[in-house]
Amino acid sequence: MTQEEIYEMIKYYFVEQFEVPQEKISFSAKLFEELGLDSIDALDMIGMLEEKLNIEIDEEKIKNIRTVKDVVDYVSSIIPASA
Amino acid sequence: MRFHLIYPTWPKLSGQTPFNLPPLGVIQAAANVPAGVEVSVTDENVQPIDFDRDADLIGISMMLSSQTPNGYEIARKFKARGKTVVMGGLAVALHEQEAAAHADAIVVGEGEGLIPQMVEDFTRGRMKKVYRHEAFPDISAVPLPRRDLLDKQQFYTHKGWELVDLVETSRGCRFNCAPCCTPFLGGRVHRIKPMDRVLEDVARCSPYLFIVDNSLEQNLEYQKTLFRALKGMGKRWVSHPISTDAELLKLAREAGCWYVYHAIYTISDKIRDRIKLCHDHGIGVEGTILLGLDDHTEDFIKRFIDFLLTVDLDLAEFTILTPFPHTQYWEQLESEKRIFDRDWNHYNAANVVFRPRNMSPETLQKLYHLAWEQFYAKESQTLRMSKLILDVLRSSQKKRPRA
Ligand code: B12
Ligand code: SF4
Repeated sequence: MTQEEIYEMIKYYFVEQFEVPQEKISFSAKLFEELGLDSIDALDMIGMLEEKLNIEIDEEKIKNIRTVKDVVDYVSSIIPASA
Repeated sequence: MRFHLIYPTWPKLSGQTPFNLPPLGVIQAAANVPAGVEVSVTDENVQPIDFDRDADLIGISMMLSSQTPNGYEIARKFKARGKTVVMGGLAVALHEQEAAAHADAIVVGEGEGLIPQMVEDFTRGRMKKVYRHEAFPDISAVPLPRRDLLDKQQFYTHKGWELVDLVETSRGCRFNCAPCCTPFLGGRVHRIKPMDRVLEDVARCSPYLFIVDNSLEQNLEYQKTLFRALKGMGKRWVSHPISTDAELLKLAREAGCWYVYHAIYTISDKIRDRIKLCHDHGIGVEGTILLGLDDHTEDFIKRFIDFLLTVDLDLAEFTILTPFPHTQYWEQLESEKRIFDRDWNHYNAANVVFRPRNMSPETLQKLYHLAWEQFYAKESQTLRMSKLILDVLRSSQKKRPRA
C-alpha cells in the first residue's frame, strides 16, 4: 500500500465512523485538537487498522502520534509495500 | 406531593472530556425522601431544565462552589414562578449564608435525617429556613442511592461505553490538609458504611466505578477489608490515593483497582518509587498537582514539570491552589488579604484568584497552562487515556464496544 492509499483509507474511515467533515482532513490535521478524536476514537482507529491491514500495533510505538501524517507514516513503516 | 431535584451545570474546563459522570449527591439526597413522595431528577449537565414542570417542591443540589451562581439563578427562576425552593449539597454547607439568601430553605450537611424532616414540614406548611445536625448522622443508616432516577442508558454512556458510577463507602477524614474542606464537611472521624450495604450498591453499578471517598489511605485495615470484599465482583475502579504498600496494592489490583489519583506536592524520589510500585502491581497513577503554594517559585514550577515528566505518570492533572471556603488556605489567604477574586464561577482550580507569594497572579496562570502543555507535549492526554482504557479491555478480554 502506498502512503496515498493509506491516507485515503484513514480519511474514509474518519468521515464514515467519526463523522469528521471531509474538508477538515489533511495530512497535517491534528487528530485530537482539530479533528476532535477522543481516547475511545483512538482505540477504535487502532482496532480498525489492525483489522483492515492485519497488523498488530504496539501502543508504545504510537504514543507520539499527533497528526494524520503521523498515523500514515507509522502504518507505512510497519506494512510491507506490497501489502 | 412531587419533589423535583436539580443538579445545575458549572463552567467546564477547556479541554475537559465531553461526557458527564452520573452525579451521586443528588440521588443520595433523593434516597432520603420519604416513601409516598414522587421524586424526580434533572441533571442540567445532560438535559435542559423544564421551569414549568408540575412539582410542589424544587430541590437544588450543589457540590461545587462554581456551581452556586448558576444554582442561585435557577432558584430565582423557579421562585419567580411561585415555587418553593430548597437547597442542599456540599457547596451549600460551604456557602451557607449566601445559599440561604437564595432559597426558601437550606439543608446544611449530610441529608440523612434532615431531608425526611424537611419534607414533612413542607407538606404540613411549616418548613423552617435552615435544617442542620447537632452531630453527624448514623452512617450505618444511610440508604442506598436512588440510581434508578438517572437514565444511564440515555445520558451516561459514551460511544458505547457505560461511564463510571460514583460510589461512596465512607465519609470523613482524620487528616486535615490545608487545601481540603473534607474535615469541615465530613468531620475528623473516618465513618464507614456497613460492608453488606456497600456491596449491595456496588452490585447495581456499572462495571466501572469511581470510589469517591476522600481518603481510603487514612485507614489501612479498612482498605484491606474493602478490597477483599470487592474481589470477584468484576469491577474496575478509580479512587483517591490508597496506601502504597506492596501487600495492599496486590489486594487492590485483585479487587479491580484500575488507577488511583496521587497528590504530588514536591520533587522527591519517594514519588518515583511509589508510582513504580503501583505500576508493578498493574495499577495506573494519575498525578494531581497543585501549583501556587507559598514555597513555589517560577523556577521551582518549571523544574517540577520537568521532574513530573521523568516519573512515569499515566496522567497528570494540574490545578491552581484555590482558597475554597472552610479550608485552611481560605483562612490564611483571607487573613493576609491576598484573595482578590470572589466570583465563584472562577473557583474551579483553573484560575488564579489570590496573590501568590513568589510571583504575580499572571505568571502563575501562565505556568499552569505551561504545565498542561509541556506534560502532554510528547504524548497526548488522549492517547495516554487510550492506554489506560486498553488495560481494562485486556484484563477483561472485552472487545471495544464499537469494534
Ligand atoms: C465526585 C466528585 C467530582 C466529580 C463530579 C461528578 C458529578 N457528576 O457530580 C468531578 C470529577 C467532575 C469533580 C470535579 C471537580 N471537583 Co470534585 N469532588 C467529587 C467528590 C469526590 C465526591 C462528591 C460526592 O459525590 N459525594 C458523595 C455524596 C453522597 O455526598 P453529597 O454530595 O454531600 O450529598 C449529600 C448531602 O450534601 C445532601 N445533598 C446533596 N444534594 C442535595 C440536594 C438537596 C435539595 C438536599 C436537601 C440535600 C442534598 O444529601 C446527600 C446525602 O447526605 C468530592 C469530595 C467528596 N468525597 O465529597 C469532590 C469535591 C466536591 N470536588 C472538589 C473540587 C475542588 C473539584 C474541582 C473544582 C477541582 C478538581 N480538579 O478536583 C473539579 C471541577 C472542575 C471543573 N470545572 O470541572 C471539592 C469542592 C471544592 C469546592 N468548594 O468547590 C471537593 C469537596 C473535594 C475536596 N475535598 O476538596 N468532582
Ligand atoms: S486531602 Fe485527603 S487526606 Fe487530606 S484532609 Fe482532605 S480528604 Fe483527608
